[in-house]
Amino acid sequence: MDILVQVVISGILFGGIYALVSIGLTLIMGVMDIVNFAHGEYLMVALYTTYFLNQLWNVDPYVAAIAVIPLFFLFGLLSERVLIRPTLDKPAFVHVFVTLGLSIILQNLALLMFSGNFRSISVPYAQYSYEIFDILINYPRLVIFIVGILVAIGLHFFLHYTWVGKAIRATAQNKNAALLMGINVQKVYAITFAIGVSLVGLGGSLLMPIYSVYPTVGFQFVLVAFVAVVMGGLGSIKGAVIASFLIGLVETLSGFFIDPSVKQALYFTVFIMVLLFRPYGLFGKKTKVA
Amino acid sequence: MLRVEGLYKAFGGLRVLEGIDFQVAEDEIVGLIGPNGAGKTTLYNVITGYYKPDAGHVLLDDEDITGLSPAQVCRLGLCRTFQIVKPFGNLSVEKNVAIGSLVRTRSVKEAHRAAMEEILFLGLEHLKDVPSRSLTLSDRKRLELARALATKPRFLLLDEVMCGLNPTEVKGMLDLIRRIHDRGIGIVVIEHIMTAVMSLSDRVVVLSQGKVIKDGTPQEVSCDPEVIKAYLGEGYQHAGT
Amino acid sequence: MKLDKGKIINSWPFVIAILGILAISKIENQYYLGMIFNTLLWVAIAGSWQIVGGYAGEFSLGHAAFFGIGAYTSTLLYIHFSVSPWIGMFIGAAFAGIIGFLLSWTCFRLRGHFFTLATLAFGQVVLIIATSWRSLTSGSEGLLLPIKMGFWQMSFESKHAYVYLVLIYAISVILFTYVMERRRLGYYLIAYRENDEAARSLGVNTFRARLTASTISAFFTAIGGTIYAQYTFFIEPESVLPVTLSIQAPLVSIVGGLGTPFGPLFGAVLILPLSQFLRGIFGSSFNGLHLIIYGLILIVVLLLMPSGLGPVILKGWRKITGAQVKKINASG
Ligand SMILES: Nc1ncnc2c1ncn2[C@@H]1O[C@H](COP(=O)(O)OP(=O)(O)OP(=O)(O)O)[C@@H](O)[C@H]1O
Ligand SMILES: [Mg+2]
Repeated sequence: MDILVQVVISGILFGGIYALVSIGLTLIMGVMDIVNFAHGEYLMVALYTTYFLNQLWNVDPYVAAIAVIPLFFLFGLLSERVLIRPTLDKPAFVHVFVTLGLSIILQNLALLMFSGNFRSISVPYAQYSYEIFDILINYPRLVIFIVGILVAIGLHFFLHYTWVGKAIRATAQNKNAALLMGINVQKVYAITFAIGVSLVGLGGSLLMPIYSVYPTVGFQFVLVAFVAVVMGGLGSIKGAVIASFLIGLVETLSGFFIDPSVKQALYFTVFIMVLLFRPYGLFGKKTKVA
Repeated sequence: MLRVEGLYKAFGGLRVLEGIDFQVAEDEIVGLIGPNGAGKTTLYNVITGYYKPDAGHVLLDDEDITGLSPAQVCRLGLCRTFQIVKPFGNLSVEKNVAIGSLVRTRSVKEAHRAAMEEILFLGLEHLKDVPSRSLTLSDRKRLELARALATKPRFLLLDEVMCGLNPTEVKGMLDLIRRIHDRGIGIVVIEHIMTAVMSLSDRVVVLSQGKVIKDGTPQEVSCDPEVIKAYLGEGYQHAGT
Repeated sequence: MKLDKGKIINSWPFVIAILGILAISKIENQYYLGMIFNTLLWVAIAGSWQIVGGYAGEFSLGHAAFFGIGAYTSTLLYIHFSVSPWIGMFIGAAFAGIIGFLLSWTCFRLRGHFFTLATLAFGQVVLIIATSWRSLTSGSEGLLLPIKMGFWQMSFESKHAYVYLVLIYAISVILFTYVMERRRLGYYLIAYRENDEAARSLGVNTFRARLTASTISAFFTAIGGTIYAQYTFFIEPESVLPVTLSIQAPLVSIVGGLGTPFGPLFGAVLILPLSQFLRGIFGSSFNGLHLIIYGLILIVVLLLMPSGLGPVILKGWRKITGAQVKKINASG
């Protein structure tokens, strides 16, 4: 029983990573109406960045995050400008393949430069745990969880109470109306994309202490994030976060009770079911970006 | 005979159709008018199977066709055009029309032959190889008509086919609708250009806030105080300008 | 009968094609034969994909599943029940067709991105099932086909036989697409792609047309799986069910020109030799470099020519031949 509770807790905590990845994804999908298939590769790049900051200059991953976030914001702005913007006035498949192409390039760039080896860092606190009521709570996982929640709350306030946030929501609801209201839609897209990418960057830094990095690490995460986005209802940050924690939970539980390789088949099936029976997500209403 | 009995339709809390009754015979041109948002297009959508009504029936020669799919409705001889035209943009005019003809024949060759008949009827032959996205609005509206005619309908439901046309084009369209009618096709026209509807229709049905408030000859309708209140006062002014 | 000189000029592509086919038997270089096999296989896979992806515009990213189903069905039937791969091929294709039908029947109500994501998830589910159902597929260890040569076993000593086999496959797909485009089904699919509502108003049962197309598309894709399995004598989940296959199928179609019968041919001829060539140069020494270049070319082509290179080439071709036809007409 104890071990079960332990598993449940650590699963939910790990959901924070999925939350950080899927919040960005849902935001980009909801506002720009594009699927960013390279989203997982941004996570991979963030992991490598954190890894090398640590290996070369001994920078703590959490400190690295402070550098990674603005860096990735710029990275996001740049890739939006160069790759995404030119696709927006073209048929939908163009952005699908441009982001897929970006993902192929980034993966193989990593392979070329760093080889396919799994790399991890060792920080003393990776194994730290708090003990509450006999349950061990792993420190890095707790950080992931708390940051995930804080980011979601922060983003909610940003979207609802700042001018830029409101412009983003207005654009998501109706691009043409937003244009008429004098909103610079191009700028909104750029900022939205950059926010999504910087959140993945943050996720990468927080993940590094307890995970390994390798060129294709992003793919599994992005697939899970797609599941979370759809389950949560497109554009719903709250939905994506709840779904992420749910997936974290299901994943550890099924890894515990059944063959770990089956767990993914399980939630992809759930994913297709949700798409079919609750096309607006498990928690979603018909809203876009909230 | 196309008949609609007690049609109700609501979107969430918004009640758009509240008990619509009316009928059209093959030898009639019926005008369907009403202020913006009265529910005219929604009525077409329900009749042709795009929406399921909450209550009521659509009858074609006493056969209940309520709830059939748009494609089935079309096969039975009921075809509509769209208020916002929907051409198959990348296809030539001829192919657009041939797709309509394919309802009545499996053979593509035969469909193209039938399509050319309609294209000639509509006077679009000089445009037959042009991709439909590059047509003018007036020609697009004609294309919609040609496509609809190609399905060999018994009844044609037209949704604002004159909207956005200049007076000459409107005159051409009126003439065209009469010629279509002469082929023995029953016609319903939704139209905001009052003079056009009044001159064209044998009978006019006035819709307001989801109800039929008047059903009579153009004279009767234009004299009816309730209609004037709901609509015509503004409409005649509009048409006069 | 009068000889139409213009017609002769326009039949050049066929003459070249026939000469090319005859030339295959003269090629002894295994590397080039492999390259031709691969290219033709991809002509067919992309061609199968675009029956539903290009004509109906239903953007599936899960076609690896059908390829894998074809490969595994015929292989398992062959290993366990000694069913000839020729028969297994059609059983696998029929099975894939049924799965494709069911998948589409459930997923076609999804719009745009969601359909794409659902098919992507479906592909992954099939991949995972194949990896974890070890008693059936022996998982990632893969299955070795019995090495017993013979026509009935669809196993041949020479690569030439496989090249001709895959050539017939590719021609069948192109021919089917070519005919379909000129038949009612093709018209209906294109009508759906262009505007669903308008198509339905004209009596087109767009749902049925799409179901038919996706069933056929899955059927044809699966045939490729069997041929591939017989060619390599070994299959594993990562070789017949990879997500990269699901991605490359639409990619080849797009580069060649979406929704045209010969698009996949142009696409495959442009992409496959190129990628094999790049892998040949950089594959061993600079692991990954060939895919980086591949990705870059892909992005550039998509951003500059979203309707593909095929139409551009075709236009060029018409210009050349068109000019010659005129010259001949003028002089004759
Ligand atoms: N799919 C829908 N969902 C929600 N509301 C709808 C839908 N379709 C129509 N409505 C609403 O129903 C009402 C009637 O619309 P409809 O298009 O039938 O009006 P109309 O009489 O054709 O007006 P117009 O002359 O402007 O074309 C409007 O208030 C419209 O907003
Ligand atoms: Mg209307």
